[in-house]
Amino acid sequence: MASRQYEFSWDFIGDIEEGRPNLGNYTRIEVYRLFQYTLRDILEDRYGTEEADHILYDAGFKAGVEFCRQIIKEKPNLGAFVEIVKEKLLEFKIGILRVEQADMDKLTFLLTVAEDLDCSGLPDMGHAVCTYDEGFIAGIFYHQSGKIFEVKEIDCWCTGDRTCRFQVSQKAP
Amino acid sequence: MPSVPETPVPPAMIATTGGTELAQQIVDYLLQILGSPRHKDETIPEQLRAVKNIEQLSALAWSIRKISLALANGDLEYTTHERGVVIGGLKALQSNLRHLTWQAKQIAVGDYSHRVDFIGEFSESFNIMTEQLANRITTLANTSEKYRNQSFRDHLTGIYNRVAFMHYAQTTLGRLREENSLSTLIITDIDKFKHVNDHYGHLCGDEVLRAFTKCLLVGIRPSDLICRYGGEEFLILLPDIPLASGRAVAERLRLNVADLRISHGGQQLTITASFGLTEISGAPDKSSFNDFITNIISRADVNLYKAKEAGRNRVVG
Repeated sequence: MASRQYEFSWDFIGDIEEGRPNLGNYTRIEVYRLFQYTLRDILEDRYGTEEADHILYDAGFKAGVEFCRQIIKEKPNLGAFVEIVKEKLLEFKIGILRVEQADMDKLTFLLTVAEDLDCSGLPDMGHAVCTYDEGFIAGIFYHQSGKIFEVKEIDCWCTGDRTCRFQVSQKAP
Repeated sequence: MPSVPETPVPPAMIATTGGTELAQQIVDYLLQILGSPRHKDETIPEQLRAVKNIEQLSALAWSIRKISLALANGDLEYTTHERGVVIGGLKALQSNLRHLTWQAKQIAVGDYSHRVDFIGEFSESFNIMTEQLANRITTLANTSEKYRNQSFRDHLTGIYNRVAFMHYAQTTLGRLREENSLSTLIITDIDKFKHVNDHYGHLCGDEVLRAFTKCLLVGIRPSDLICRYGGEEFLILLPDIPLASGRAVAERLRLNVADLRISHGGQQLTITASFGLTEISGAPDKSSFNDFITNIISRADVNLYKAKEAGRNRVVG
């Protein structure tokens, strides 16, 4: 693409305090999901399910990296980092992150996100839907380690579970 | 007697009777899976196999049974791909317990930042325990550091003692070994210190030792290592300073000491000191360091003896 108008920068988040003196920094989950699932509808319709998922994953990855750069900033050891991420995801009401397993030698992790922003409360669709979250988590891990991780959702509210579960492993070079 | 024709059973009744029987069989089957500890056979009974979704129901019921038993036995490894609100709830509990396990492991390796935010009253107690543990560890570490500092210091002069010197010299020389650089060790001794003690008393002697220490400290770099080796003898390690430069440092120290004026009982005392030097190249590994440093000190001590023999107040090495 010759020129870009929307290459992401934190400027697109804007000065919320100044811009929304009366409405403040919160909106309803319906609005977020309306945005995500209408966008997903159009992406899928135009590019097919697989490509739409790739786009969402990549967008999530970028969001994860930018979220860490802007909000978390620090890069302590993994244990402390997860605790900070957990606090921030809670503070921003994105979801309740928990680590089930962490193998620091193999660099594999099993995480859960309860009350997930993207899917909690959706009907059982028979397939996982949190593609954006997969990318987001991969972005978080990239920020902390500088390594590319593959993230796969194996349980989701939309597969009838009560919490989303993600398998995280370092991507083979 | 004419035979009584059988009253045909209306088709609806057949369905109802058969339906009730089938329903009862399904109820019994589920009760066995979920209620009977002795029931182990996962085979779906022949008469139920034609029922739509029976495999799915059976798999779900078995999974609920298995994960419940696994949780009850403290086994968090059981994996199931069954779905639904009940199994989902149990998997969520399993997930929480796995997270708690991970948090406990993190705390065990010294990361006390973890807090539990589920399992109600347990969380509260767990978090209090972790905070208290963190506080106590911090207090213990601070106390340990304080005592370590005290055990490494000479009480009279405040500089390192011999134990600390050996410890830090090993670290310093170990680092320099990789850089192949030369260092200098100085041993210095206040001349005729016995005379000070005998003539002016031990309190005066202590005052002289403190003044002598200050004088040495002013003349060396913060990165140099100094200790009171014993009595009126002091060691100074000049890392990365070869003998020629070390000699200049010692000479400067000697002059500073000679210029020193120590007030005691309305009098101005003067002292002199002798200096023995030796050069250090490389350092052995930890296992043979004690022999190595003892040998270096002996070499410097020979030169100190020569300085004394040559009339004191001089640098040899």
